[in-house]
Amino acid sequence: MTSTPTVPSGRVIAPRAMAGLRRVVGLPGAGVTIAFLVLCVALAFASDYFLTVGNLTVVLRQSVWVAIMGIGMTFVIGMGEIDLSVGAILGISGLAAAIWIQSGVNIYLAVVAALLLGAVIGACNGLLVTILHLPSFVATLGAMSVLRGIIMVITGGVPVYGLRYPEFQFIGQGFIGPFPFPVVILAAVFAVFAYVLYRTPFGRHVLSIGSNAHAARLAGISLTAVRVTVFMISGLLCAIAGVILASRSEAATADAGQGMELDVIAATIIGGTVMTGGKAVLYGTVVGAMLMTTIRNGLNLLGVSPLWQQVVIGAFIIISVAGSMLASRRADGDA
Amino acid sequence: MPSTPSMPVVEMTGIGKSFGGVPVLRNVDLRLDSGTVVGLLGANGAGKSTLIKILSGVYSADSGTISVDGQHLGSASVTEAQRLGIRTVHQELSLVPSLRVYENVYLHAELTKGRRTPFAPLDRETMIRESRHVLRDVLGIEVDVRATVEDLPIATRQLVEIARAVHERAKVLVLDEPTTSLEAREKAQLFQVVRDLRNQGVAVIFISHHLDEVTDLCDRTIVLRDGAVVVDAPTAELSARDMVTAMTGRLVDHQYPKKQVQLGEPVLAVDGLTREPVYRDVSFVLRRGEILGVVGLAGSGKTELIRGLAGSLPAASGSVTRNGSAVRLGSIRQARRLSLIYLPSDRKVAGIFPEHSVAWNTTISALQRIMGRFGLSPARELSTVNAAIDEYGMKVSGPDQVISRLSGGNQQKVMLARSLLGNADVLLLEDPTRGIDVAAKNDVYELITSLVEAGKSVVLVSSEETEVLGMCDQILVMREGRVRANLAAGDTSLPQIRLIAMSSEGDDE
Ligand SMILES: Nc1ncnc2c1ncn2[C@@H]1O[C@H](COP(=O)(O)OP(=O)(O)OP(=O)(O)O)[C@@H](O)[C@H]1O
Ligand SMILES: [Mg+2]
Repeated sequence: MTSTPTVPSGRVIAPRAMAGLRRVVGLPGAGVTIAFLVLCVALAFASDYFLTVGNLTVVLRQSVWVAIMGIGMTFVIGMGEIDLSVGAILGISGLAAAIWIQSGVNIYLAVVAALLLGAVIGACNGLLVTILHLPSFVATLGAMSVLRGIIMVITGGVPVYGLRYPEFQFIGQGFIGPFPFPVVILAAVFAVFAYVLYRTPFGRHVLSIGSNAHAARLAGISLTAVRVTVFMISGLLCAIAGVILASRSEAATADAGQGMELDVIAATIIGGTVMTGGKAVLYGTVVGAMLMTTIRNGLNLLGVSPLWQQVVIGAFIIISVAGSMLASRRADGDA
Repeated sequence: MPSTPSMPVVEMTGIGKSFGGVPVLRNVDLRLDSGTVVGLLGANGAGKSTLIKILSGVYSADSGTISVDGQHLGSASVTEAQRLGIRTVHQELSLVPSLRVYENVYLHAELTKGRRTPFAPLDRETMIRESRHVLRDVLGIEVDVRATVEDLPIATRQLVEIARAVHERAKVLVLDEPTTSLEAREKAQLFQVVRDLRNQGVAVIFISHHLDEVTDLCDRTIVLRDGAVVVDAPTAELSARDMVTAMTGRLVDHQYPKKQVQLGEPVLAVDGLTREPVYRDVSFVLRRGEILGVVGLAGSGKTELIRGLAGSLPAASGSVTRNGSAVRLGSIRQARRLSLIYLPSDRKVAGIFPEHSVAWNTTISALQRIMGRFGLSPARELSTVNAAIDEYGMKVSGPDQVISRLSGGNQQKVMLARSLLGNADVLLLEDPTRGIDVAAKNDVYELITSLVEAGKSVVLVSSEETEVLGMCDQILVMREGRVRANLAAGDTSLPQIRLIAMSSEGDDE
C-alpha cells in the first residue's frame, strides 16, 4: 500500500478523492451498478433505439422473472445454500394455474393455489435439507428433475394454450398508471423482502447461518425453521414469476423456466451476494437481472447472432464478478 | 543457558504498518538472538499479532526492513518465511478441521515415499509414527493421531498446532498466545519444550497476557503500547507492576474484585446428570447470586458438562430443576428459553460471524432489544453497541468495523458483550477472559461481580484455577467425567484443587 497512489502517467491524485472513490467502489453492489450504467451509456451511443421508452420498458419487463426469482435466491445463497429447482418451480406453478383456470376454477383462486403450490414445493426442499440433511445442491437438483418430469407427464409436451381472460391477462400485461403491472409486482416484492432481509431478526438470522452456522446455533437461532422458511420464500417467488410468465404468454409451456436457474444464480452473484453465504445484496440482484437482460437486448439491437450472445454473456459474468471482487478486496485494505 | 551470540537471527527495524489509514505499528525494532526467548506483551490491539504476522509473511510491512540470518526478507510470503526457518503458531487456530491430526501436523510438509514431489505416494506410516512421537513424548499428551481435528477439544487442538510448529527443526519459533486454553500441566510441558528448544539454539517469541508466564519463561521482554515499543529489557529487571504500567500507561492492581453477595434461593439444581462417556453423575445446586466454578484437566469433562447445561451436548439421564420446577435442557433453544445463556470458548468456530460488523455480532442474540417501530432500529442498535464498546473498553474504529479485523482479545470482548446482552439469568461462561489483557480482565471480573450483585448466577468453567479460586463461591473439581470434590472457595487452596484434579484413577474408588 502506498500513501500517494499514482496513475500510470505518474500524476498524483489527491489521496482523499482516491480514498472516497475506493470506498464507493467497495460498497456492496457497486460493481454491478457501475457495469450496468456503463453498459447503458455504451448502448445508447451504439444504437439509437436503445434509449427509447418502448425499449427500456421491454428490458425492464424481461428482467422481472429473473429479478423476482433472484430475490428468493439472494436469501438462499445468503444463507449458504443453493436452489437449483427455481426454473422448474416456475414451470410447474404456471402450469398448475393454467390447468386449474382452464378447468373452470375461479381465476383468483387458481392463482392463489398456484402460489401456495410453489411455497409448498419450496418448503419440501427445505425439509429435505434440514430433516434428511441433504446438501441443498443435491436436494434441489433432484427436485428440479422430479418437477420437470411431472410437467412432461402432465402435458405430454403439449402446451396449455388460450389463457385469454382479462383478469388473468392483467397480471402479466396490465398497467397501473404508466407502470407495467409485473414491474409493480417486482417493486412490491423487493420492498417487502428488503425489509425482511435488513430490518427483521429473521433476515439477520438468515445471514448469520450463512456466515457461521455453528455460531448461529449457539446464539439460539433455530436453523431448521429459518432454512425451511427461506426455501419456502424461494418457492413462493418462483410461483409468482411463473404466474406472471403464464399470463404474459397466455399459455403454459412444458419448457417454461428451463435453464433459468443459471440466470437467476448469475444475477444474484453478479449483484454482490457472496457465493458461500453470509452477505447478501438485494438490490444488486435486481440490477444484476437487468444487466443480463440489457446485454441480451443490446446484442439483439446490434444484430449479434444468438450463438455469439452466449459467449459474450458468459464473458461478461466472469469479468463483472472478478471486477467487483477485486474492488471490494482493495477497499478492505488487504490486497 | 543462553549464550551471547554476535549476530541476531532476526532483525526487524523501523517496522510500520497501517490498516485503512490507521497506524497499527510505528517504527518497531525487534532483535532476536538465537537461544533466547523473548516475551511480547501489550494490551488488546497493541499490535502484537500484527507484528508477528509480518515476520511470518502473512502481512507485508508498509515500512522498515526484516532480515533473517542476514538474508533480507522481501514482501509478504509465508512460504519464504518458512523456508528461512520461521514457524508460527497463530492466535486464532489454523488447523484444517476436517483433516486428521497427523495430516495437520504434516500439512504442506507431507512425507512421501521416495522423492518429495506433489504427486509422490504419501508415507502415512512414518507421518503417523512421528506425529504420535511428537505429541506423546515431546508435548506429553495422549491423543489418537488418526482422529479428525474437529472432534477434538480446543486445548488439544492448540497442542496439535504447537506440534506442527515444533516437529520440524525451526530456527525461529513464534507462539502467539499459545497457552490460552491450556491447563497447568500442559502449560508446564509446553514450557519445557520451549526451554529445550532454546537450549538447542532456537529463538523464540512468546506472546501472552499472563505476566507470570512471561516472567517464568522469557529472557527478554518487549512491551508494545499502541503499536510502539515502550520497553525492551531483560525480564529479570522488570517487575509485574512495571510490565502492566508499561502496557496500559497507568497503574492497575490485579486483584479479584470478589464481593460477598447474599446467596438467594436455588435457581438451578442438577442431580445425577450423565452423558456417557463424557460426564457422569454430576450433581450440584446453584443459588441466586452465586458463582460456581468448574475446574479439571483437559478431558476431565468440564467443558462437556457446561455444554450439557447449555443444551448443546444434552445429558442422557439425570434431573434438572430450574427455579423449583423440573425442566429439560435438551437443546440450545430450550436452555435459552430458561434464560441459561452460554458463552463458548472457541470464538472463531463457535462464536463470531466473521464478515459482519461489531454491532451485528454484539446484538445477534438479543435482537428484540433493538426493535423499533419499523423493524430493527439502526439508531437503537448504535446506542446499544456504543454502550457496550465503552463498557468493555473495546478497541474498535466504530460499531460498523468488521469483527474479523479486530484483535483477538477485542473479539472476545464482543463475545462477552453478546452473551451478557441476552437477558441471561444464569450465565454459562467458558473461559470468558480467554485472550483478554490484564487491565480489561479486571473489568470483566468486575462486570461478573456486578451481575451477581444484581441477582444473576454464573457457572464458570476455566482453565485458570486462580481465576476460579478468586471469583467463585463453590468449586467443582472434575476428573474423568466425575465430580471428585465440591468445595467452598473459602476452604480450599490451589494445591488442594490441583491434587484432586490430577490424582490418578483408583485413589478414591
Ligand atoms: N486485517 C486488519 N484490518 C484492519 N485492522 C486490523 C487488521 N488486523 C488487525 N487490525 C487492527 O490492528 C490493531 C492491532 O491488532 P493485533 O491483532 O495486532 O493486536 P494484538 O496486540 O495481537 O491484540 P490481542 O491481545 O487482542 O490479540 C487492532 O486495533 C486491530 O483492530
Ligand atoms: Mg493478538
